[in-house]
Amino acid sequence: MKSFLALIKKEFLHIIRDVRTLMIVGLMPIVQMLLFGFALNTDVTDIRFGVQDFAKDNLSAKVIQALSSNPDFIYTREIVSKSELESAFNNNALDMVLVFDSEFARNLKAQIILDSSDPNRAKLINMQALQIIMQTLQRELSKGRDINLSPITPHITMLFNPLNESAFNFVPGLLGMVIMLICAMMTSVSIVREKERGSMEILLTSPLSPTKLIISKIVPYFCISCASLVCVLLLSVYVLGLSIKGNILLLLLFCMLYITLALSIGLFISNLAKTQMVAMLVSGMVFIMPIMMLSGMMFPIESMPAILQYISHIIPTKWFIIGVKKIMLEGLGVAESIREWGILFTMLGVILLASFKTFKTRLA
Amino acid sequence: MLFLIQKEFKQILRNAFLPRLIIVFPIMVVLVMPFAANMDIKNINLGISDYDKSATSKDITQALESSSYFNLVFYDNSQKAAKSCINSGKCDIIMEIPNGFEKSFLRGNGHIGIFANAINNVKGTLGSGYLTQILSTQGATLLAQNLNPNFMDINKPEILSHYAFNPTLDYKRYMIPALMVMVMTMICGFLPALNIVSEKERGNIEQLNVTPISKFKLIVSKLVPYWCIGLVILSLCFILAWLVYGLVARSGAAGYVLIYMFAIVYILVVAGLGLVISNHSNTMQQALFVIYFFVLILVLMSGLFTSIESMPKWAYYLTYINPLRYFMESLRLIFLKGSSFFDIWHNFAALLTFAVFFNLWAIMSYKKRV
Repeated sequence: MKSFLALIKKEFLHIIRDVRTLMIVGLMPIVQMLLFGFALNTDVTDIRFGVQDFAKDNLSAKVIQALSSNPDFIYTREIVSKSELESAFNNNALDMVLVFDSEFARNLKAQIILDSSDPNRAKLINMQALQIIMQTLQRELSKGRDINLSPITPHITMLFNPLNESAFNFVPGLLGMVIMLICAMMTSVSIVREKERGSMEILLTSPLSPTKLIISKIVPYFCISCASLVCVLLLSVYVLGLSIKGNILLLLLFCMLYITLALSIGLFISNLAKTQMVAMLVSGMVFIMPIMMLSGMMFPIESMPAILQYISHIIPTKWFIIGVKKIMLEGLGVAESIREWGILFTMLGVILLASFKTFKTRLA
Repeated sequence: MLFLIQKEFKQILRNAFLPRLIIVFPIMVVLVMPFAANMDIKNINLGISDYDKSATSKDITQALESSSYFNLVFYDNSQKAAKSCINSGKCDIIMEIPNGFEKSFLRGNGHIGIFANAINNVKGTLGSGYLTQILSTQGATLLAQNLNPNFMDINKPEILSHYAFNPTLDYKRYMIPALMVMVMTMICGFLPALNIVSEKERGNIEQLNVTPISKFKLIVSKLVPYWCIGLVILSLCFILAWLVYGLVARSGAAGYVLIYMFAIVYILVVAGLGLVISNHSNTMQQALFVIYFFVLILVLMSGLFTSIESMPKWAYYLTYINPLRYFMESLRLIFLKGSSFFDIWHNFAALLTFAVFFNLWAIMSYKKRV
């Protein structure tokens, strides 16, 4: 036990004496959370629209006015000719053009032309614009007459996220990505570096068992990661405005499980890789893509083709995100998230087993 | 200097891992990821608590069931079941039809409650939006069938929406250019970042330092291979995009010429940034952490996945110092909308400035003294 503690101390010293790396590792998650927590935003605001008005009557003017007075819409310019309409979107100055039929007041015909290079943005803009236009028409046409354009009034409630903030969706994903990448990158070099520097021989000749060697590699990084986890969680509560609805202890335990998993994945890579370069490229670069794309952080998993949905099951971040959403944002307990716990535990078991198996006590 | 370039090429090609990475990584990303990178909201799980159980409420339920956006997973009139449905994540939206809905509906004044799980706010908004749209069209038809006189005497508003540049609202068209750029940024950023620092760690930087070659030539010879790699990757991606997805630039050959023009400058920017980081780092781990940090910021703050117009003002202004933003914007404009050079010359100028800036910095910060 004493020698084991000494080994852990050695690993700690390695890390602490490399102040630059320590600073980077400590600051990086914080800066990233802050930047992305605010910047990753799917709210549709600042919609710049142009108008081509063939009607030029009272009603079309009312519609334009209603749109312009909405804080999300910005009236940019009037479009006069057809050729102008064609090139209107070419420099990204407009999101939408509203075209009124020359008989608009009578037949109520209009067209919304949307820049749909970004499909979701286009759809959301369309929805908002339609809503405002319909409301205006309803108000204007029902003056003096009893007319109801739509007989059903929906009352919409946004559950769990009443202000409809993007942060609720992105923060768990960011948490998952940042932890996974940093942890994996930290440990992925740990063993391969000893190999490259030649100090591996010394470690192997020590009387410690491989199990203890591997655990001693994980422990210091685990402490660092937990510290940055607490920072990041504090940030997301006090700066990004998320509230932890569930049990904090449960959430922390869940995150620690995930951190251990991420560190073990790094170690596993380190065991397999021959050079530091390979280890880092794999853990840094090759990992980013699937984590960003397939974990459900950015893109909803339900919209993917079936094969990719199956592939997404093996990405730990996916389960982490689901779990964090349940525990942190919806305030549910262990019973509802038992599946996520189980899956992460199984993954951890498999990876640790694989790391022990691939750890070679002999140098090639 | 030619020998130096040759040396760099050989170093990359003789590495067991790098050539494979350079070829396989873009192919994988372009082939697989566009299917995943789909923010389209489909298959929304809808639960209906129907307290009315009238002909009208059943008509509406049927209309929703046949719509391609919704899966009806739950139809009941118990509040408890509805609550557990949304808590367990089985339902995304609960629609509540109150008792006596039909009666008030026939008077033209029906009310319906919609409860959406808004943790994914796009899903919540779009889902309830689709629902509202279906309700209003379905409501209008139903009411017209019931011959409500108020409803017949005016023209119904007819507002058509035209989705320009992407009429089918296909996410692949939007994401493929983005993914190409992402791959290029990652490979042309990570590899140079590890380049100089790996020479430092191995110790053979001293041999480079004692050569009579100037710093300028040294940096240029480090840049050239990545430049070629970047262009190879880009071409590979274009060929794949055309073969697999049938995606070609809107303005044809002229568009490609323009894209390559932008790409040539952009690769210089990223590779320059990589070399700067490499110069300033002591170990490969440091270099990797720093470049990872920057690449992630470049990628996520460039409007690649989420539009920069949605960002808060300060973040929006920050994107002005993000070279990827200019490249991304230009690529989408050229590729999807067929813009000409005059529409986007300012982006080109910005990229050029970045390229000069980073590469000058790379040259200045390279120290021949150890």
